[in-house]
Amino acid sequence: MPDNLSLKTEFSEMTDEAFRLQWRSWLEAHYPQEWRRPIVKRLHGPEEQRWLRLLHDHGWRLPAWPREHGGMGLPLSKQLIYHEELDRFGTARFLDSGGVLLGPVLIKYGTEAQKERYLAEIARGDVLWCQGYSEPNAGSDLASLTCQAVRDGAHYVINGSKIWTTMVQFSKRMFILVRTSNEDRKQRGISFLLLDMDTPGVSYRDIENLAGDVEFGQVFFDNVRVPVENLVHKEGEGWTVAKALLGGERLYSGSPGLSRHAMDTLERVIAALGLQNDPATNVLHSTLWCDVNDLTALYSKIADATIFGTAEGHEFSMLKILATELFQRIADACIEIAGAEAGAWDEAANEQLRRIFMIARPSSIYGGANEIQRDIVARALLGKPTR
Amino acid sequence: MWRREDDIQTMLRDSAGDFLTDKHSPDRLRALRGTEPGYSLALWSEMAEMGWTGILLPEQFGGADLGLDEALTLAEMLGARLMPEPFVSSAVFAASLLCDAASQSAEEPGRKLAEGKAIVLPALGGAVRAVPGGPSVSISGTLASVSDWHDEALLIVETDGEAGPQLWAVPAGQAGANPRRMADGTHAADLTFDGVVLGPEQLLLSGPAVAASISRATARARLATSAMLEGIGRTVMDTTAEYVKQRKQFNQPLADFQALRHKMVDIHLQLELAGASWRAAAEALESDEPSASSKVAAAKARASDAALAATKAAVQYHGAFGYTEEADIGLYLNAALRLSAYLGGGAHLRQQALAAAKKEAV
Repeated sequence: MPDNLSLKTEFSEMTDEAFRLQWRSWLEAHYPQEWRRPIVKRLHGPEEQRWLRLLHDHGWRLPAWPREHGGMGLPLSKQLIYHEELDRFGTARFLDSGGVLLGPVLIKYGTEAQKERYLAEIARGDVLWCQGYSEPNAGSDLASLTCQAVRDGAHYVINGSKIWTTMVQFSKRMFILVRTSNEDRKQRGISFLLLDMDTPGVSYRDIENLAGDVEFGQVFFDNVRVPVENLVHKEGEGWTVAKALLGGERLYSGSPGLSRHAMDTLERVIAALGLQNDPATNVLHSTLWCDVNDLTALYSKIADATIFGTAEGHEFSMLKILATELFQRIADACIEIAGAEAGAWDEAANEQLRRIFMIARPSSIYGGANEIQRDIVARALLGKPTR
Repeated sequence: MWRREDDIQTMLRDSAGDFLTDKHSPDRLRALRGTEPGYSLALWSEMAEMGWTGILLPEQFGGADLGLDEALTLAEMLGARLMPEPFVSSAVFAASLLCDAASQSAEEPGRKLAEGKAIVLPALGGAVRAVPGGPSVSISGTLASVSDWHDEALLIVETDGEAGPQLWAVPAGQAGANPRRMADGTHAADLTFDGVVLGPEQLLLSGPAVAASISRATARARLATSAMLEGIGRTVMDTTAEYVKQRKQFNQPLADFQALRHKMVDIHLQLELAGASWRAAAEALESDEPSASSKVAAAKARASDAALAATKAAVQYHGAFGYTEEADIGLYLNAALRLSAYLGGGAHLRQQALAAAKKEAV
């Protein structure tokens, strides 16, 4: 724990408003100005590490982790404020798979040795992790994964492939779901392993996305030997392990933050093109304005319910559907409003409209494709299908 | 579950549920349609005994002196059960105007409303001029579309003239009225006043306070209507969910078909947005936040569209049966048609919301 933390009042003793102001002031004082490009910028590799290290050194790292593991140990109400302010300030996106996805898994299911080995370096931002889940034949149907891990003495031997592995180019380690046995219920044969990317037999290829970024890739495992100590929890329990998340993580995918930033862009485009009094523009703008207003209201209500402990799983799915599709519709509106200029590769009306439009596309695909999210909500409304 | 309520609201909801089950049904609603006014004064009186007609009125008028939150809880239930009695236009809208009025002149109408002896209705936004003549005034002009029209109602009429904006208590019988039947069996009347003489004791409010009072009362009425629309939408979706789970075709329940499941999810999402939107708007309105204006407009727009979407889908998923008079679905669809338009529909209010937001940002 950095020394300057002991100079601060306990975060949980502060009022929510005092906490908000302190975090906001810190961002104003320390957030790199060149990174204040919401939506269009995501931090990669060294930049991500620099950000995580900066947070760590100033005591603002990992709001949801317990303090004993290097986090801030904040109650959910303050975690939500933390995220709200990051959104409001207009920060670059960053992935932090280690902090967000792996940390909670190790905190809940890891051995003491695993926690000691891996948590502190995640907290410091020294090590970036990637997530080895999806496969060429296992996306939404993740449980059908076939990347295999066979026990051989003191090792598991991995063969297979993972794909859509975000930030594989910058990751030192991977947490991976592998099949260790074939069971009647396919989830039951899955295990959760930790892997160093420089292990012999691991290779990858870059995949460029439609926004022009090289951020994900396909990874190949050719007789990759992983020590059995790198199994998290029990063999065959990987599916359960993978579901562990801390705090408000399930909530954030439904945040109106990206939609708000997209709306800022839309309003700048409208102003730049002098369309403020154009009736057709007004209809489109007002519809989207109300959509942002109403999503913000629903997000706030479900966030409160999450704090009270009454939020249900399908309600997070509801927000994810609404938030991602609204983000897309606003990006679509930017293109529509920009008229003849909208087809540009680079900038249109002084904004990176094509880039924003493309960045919005996968939001309805990742984090649980929206078709699956609708299935989840449908189950809550209508029960499971009978067949 | 994210909807929350306090103990008073729960109590209100429980007692309302029992009352409504006892006193009302779709068949009662059918029987009232085609009659004038399309609702029952006798039942209005019983609603008064429950404390509902005077829910917002102060104790000095014999009211329950409860707040907007309680009125909205009740509105949602009345919408869910399709009560045609004019709770929103009278017990919320008109009552709100009476609360702002000078207490002497408001006392009699307020008391009658609380006791369920009168239907008090807002008659605003027309072109009615007040011309002074000694201690009294004479009012003349036209006024469009007074909702929930009853020819024995007491109207709160907005006038303009030398004395500026004013609100007057005027018996409905003094207006020339041209009522037309609305989709849900209530009536909206276009009025003509031709030299109607009013005494000073009928003056409820004058001056700049009139615009402020109308603005606040309209906002409350829009939110109460939004709550009713959410009640209509959710009830019809619940009914439809039950139906599609048991109706089988091709050897499986309709509820198994993914296209139908996903469409119902999308309607549910709209109703959830509506529910959150009016609740957030009510909070903003009661806290006097500058953002209240845009939020109220957005909330009514969403509720209007969500209720229409839900009732239309309900017809679709009930198949041909949904398209019959004998099915109850049509009652919900007609109520949604009328209430989605009352005090502004989606298209109009979305534009108003944006315009208000732009003003608030300055």
